[in-house]
Amino acid sequence: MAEQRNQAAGQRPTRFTYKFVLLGESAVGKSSIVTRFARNEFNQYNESTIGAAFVTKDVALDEMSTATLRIWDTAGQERYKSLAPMYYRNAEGAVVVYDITQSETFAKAKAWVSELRRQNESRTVIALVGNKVDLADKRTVTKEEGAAYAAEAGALFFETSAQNGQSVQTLFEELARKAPRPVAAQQQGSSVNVLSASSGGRDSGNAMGNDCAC
Amino acid sequence: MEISALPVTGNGEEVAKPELGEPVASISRVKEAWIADSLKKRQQEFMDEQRIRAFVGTWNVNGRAAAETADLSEWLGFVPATEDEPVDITKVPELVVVGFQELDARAEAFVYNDAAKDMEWTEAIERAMGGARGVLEKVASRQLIGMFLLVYVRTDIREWITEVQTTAVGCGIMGVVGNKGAVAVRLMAQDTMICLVCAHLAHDAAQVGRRNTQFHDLCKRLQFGDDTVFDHNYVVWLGDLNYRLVADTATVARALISDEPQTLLEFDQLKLAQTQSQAFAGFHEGDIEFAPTYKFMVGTDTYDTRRQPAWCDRVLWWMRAGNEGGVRSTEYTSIDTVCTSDHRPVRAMLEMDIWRVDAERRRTAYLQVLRELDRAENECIPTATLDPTAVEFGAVHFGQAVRRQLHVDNTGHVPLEFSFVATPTRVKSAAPEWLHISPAEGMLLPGQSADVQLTVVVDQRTSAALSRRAAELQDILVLHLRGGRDYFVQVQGSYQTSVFGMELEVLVHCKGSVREMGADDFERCLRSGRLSVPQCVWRLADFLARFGTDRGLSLFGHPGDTALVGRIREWLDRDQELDPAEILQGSAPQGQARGESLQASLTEQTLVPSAAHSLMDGTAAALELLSPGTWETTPESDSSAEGSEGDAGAVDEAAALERVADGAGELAGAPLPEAIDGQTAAHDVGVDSVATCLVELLGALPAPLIPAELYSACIEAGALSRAAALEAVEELPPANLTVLVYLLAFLRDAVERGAASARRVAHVFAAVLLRAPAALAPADSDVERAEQFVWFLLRSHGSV
Repeated sequence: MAEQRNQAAGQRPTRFTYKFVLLGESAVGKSSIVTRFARNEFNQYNESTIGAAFVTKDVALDEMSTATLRIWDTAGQERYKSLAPMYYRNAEGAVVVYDITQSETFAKAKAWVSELRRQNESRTVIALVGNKVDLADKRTVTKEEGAAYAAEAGALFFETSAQNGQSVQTLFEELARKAPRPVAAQQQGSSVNVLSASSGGRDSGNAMGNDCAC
Repeated sequence: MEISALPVTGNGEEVAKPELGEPVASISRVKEAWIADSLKKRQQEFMDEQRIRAFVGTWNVNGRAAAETADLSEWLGFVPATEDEPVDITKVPELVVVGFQELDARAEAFVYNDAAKDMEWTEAIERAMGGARGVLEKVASRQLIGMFLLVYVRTDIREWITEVQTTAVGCGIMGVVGNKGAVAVRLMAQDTMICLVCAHLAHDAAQVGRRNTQFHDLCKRLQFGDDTVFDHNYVVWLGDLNYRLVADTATVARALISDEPQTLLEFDQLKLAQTQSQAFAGFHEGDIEFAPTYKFMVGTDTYDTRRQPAWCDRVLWWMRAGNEGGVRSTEYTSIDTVCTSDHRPVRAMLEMDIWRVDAERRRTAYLQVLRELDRAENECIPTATLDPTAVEFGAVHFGQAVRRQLHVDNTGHVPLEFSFVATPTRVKSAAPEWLHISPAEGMLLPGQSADVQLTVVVDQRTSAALSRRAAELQDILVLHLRGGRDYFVQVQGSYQTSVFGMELEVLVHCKGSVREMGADDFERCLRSGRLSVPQCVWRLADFLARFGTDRGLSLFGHPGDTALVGRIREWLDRDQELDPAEILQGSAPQGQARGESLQASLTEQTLVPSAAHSLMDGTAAALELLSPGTWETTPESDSSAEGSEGDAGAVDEAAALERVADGAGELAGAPLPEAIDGQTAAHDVGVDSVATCLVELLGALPAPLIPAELYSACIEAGALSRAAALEAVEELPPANLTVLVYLLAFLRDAVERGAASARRVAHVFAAVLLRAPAALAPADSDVERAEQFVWFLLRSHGSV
């Protein structure tokens, strides 16, 4: 069995804890992506998020390591924009979502990517995500456009469908794989140190950067 | 180099924090274990089971040369009778495990391995395979002195076998020499880890304790990387284990003669050791239905009577927890036809369940397990329902509290701790200054709820920006659940722009209704010409001058009527004339008459400039500001502002003021302020309401008329003299000074006319004109000194 093989290789399972944030215009499907990812469910008609929803999700990075993702799903409406730094600050991963059928949401996604870069959140790995590929016949943003901008911005790129689940799992797994590993983990490969290195804060659920280490 | 003080656990892992409380790392390990366990419970979903057969043979060859030995095909058992006979591959076991002991019994063999010996025996075995040789591939062999282990795999399943490793451990002489010990091979068949151990333990009936010890020693020391023997799914342990019978010779002889060897099993040291958990605990063995395999006279079927016969040569197996029943014996026998050694070869045919993990299905199951965990964990994340999700306060007037309830309901499964938190745009506080939250934090058990009261009050601390529409009465509160999500609560009200709470600088520019003005209007207005005295201040003072002179000494002594105060404020905000008829409740004509006389006197005596004179001796700047010309921009003041400086009037006025002050609030001949009839009462209430408005208007200035930085100087002057007070006032900014001078002139006149007592005016106006800066803790004596300061200013020239 795989566990057996792990022991043969003389390694110990490693666990990382990451803070991820979803950003993007209202109604592009951020909450749906999270729901698909966390519960493998989809609701056609979701209430719009007023606040920042929080879920935790485990993902297998490889045979040897698991990551616990603490995901903040933020409200997309313009009026809440000033609160976004609470959630993207100190995040290891940012999922910037747009709707492939609404080109203005793509422009908004670009603005988010720029803001993240401008805020010098350089350790944040960004994934640009074109959602709603199940509505391909209404597409207004081509895959090439998305991919080109992602490449330019140094972001990962995915096209997903929260509706049918396409690439949702992959998106988070890839992002978790690319997310910066705590230094202690690289040196020691020991789960004890990994955790102590990433659990400095008090309240794991708090989004405020100064007292959150998730 | 410093030696690390960190405690180190047995496996060399550093313990990060030797603190009490929740050990995060161990919780994580527990979680990993739970995941592994859950996955194992679902393994049938992703594991394809297969069955293989294994030939497991063990033989102590007593140092004989392979060449001396007869055909071994009988031992293998699966070999076709003749070489010509076609091989039925299905009859050949998938795994062939052959273990030898005492390949070389010579003394020097203890020191080095003789490769020739194992070549010899390998050839013998492969020769014996006959036609099956072509379908068996040797995958591993390992020798240690006399011990030799050979492993073959059937070629059609060769690719199932991976991760083949070998090891050897000596535990004979001095506990390390390889005359006794074990050789071992481990391999992975599909995804099943199998360990094969060929051991030769201490001989002699009396050495049972030593054999047991050697078993444990081997279990510990036989290692493949970090893995020990028991880190496999299956362990097959074969060899000359040398356990003897603890029966007396007669009993053994009787059993063998009567061909009932099984009756001796109860005397078998190995079985006894297993029962007593001294060695091989948890190991299984096929039923022994064959005679003891030791010790025969070489080349005969006769036991060597110098030794008690025993089942020295055995094949046992062990299955990991969770893999129980995965190995079964289908045959267990000794081979009587091979008699070139003093031991008989033993053969066990084992059936083994092995499995292949389907990576894709395993991943699916793994994800489901994780999801199940996530679901449970997410259910432990607190959630709440808020009602309403946005709070609308409606119209908010200056100084008037508007309250709304926010209902917080713990709809989750865990206790909830909520708190309103700061935001990036409001880094220090959980709410904007104009909003009070009570309670701002709390705890709710599942199902409990709480009402949070949100109160909006715009006062002079927060009104400045709102008043000129540079800010909106709206914000987003963030309600954080500890360990959970955040809720955004939009709060919004419509601030009713008012002259109350407006900065003096804005007031002196406003010439119309402030209520209807937008941000742009204010900007434009601030660039336009300014008034010397704000219109609203003038309106109130003017009204009081006209109608308030017969309040006895009670002016500024009564609050008036709240509703009427509200109406008056509204008129001021909307730039409407104060309607004497409505304010004075029909008593206006009388008041008007009385008022007119006062107004005339006010106008003719040109109260303001003269007051300025008397107050501001030698203050050129103030005089300049107060010259008649500056009044031209005040539209309604045309009539009242026109006039001449009358020194005589000023002297009269000063004298009157003196009288008022000296007379301690008594003005000779003034009527008592009692209500004579209903109309008079209504009249007084109207006047008092206007007076209240004036006091409130000054109190509502975001920055007090006497600036905070002059507060201390003025308080000090209050303890000194009128001259000191005048000196302190000189420091006022021109705009503030102008208004102050106007106000004092009005007040002095009111006092002089017997409408108000000087002490009361000083008391009431000290509180609104002199406000202690927030950073300053006012002393008890401050109030007294502030009043004295205002009182000094009310006194006329030359009265010091």
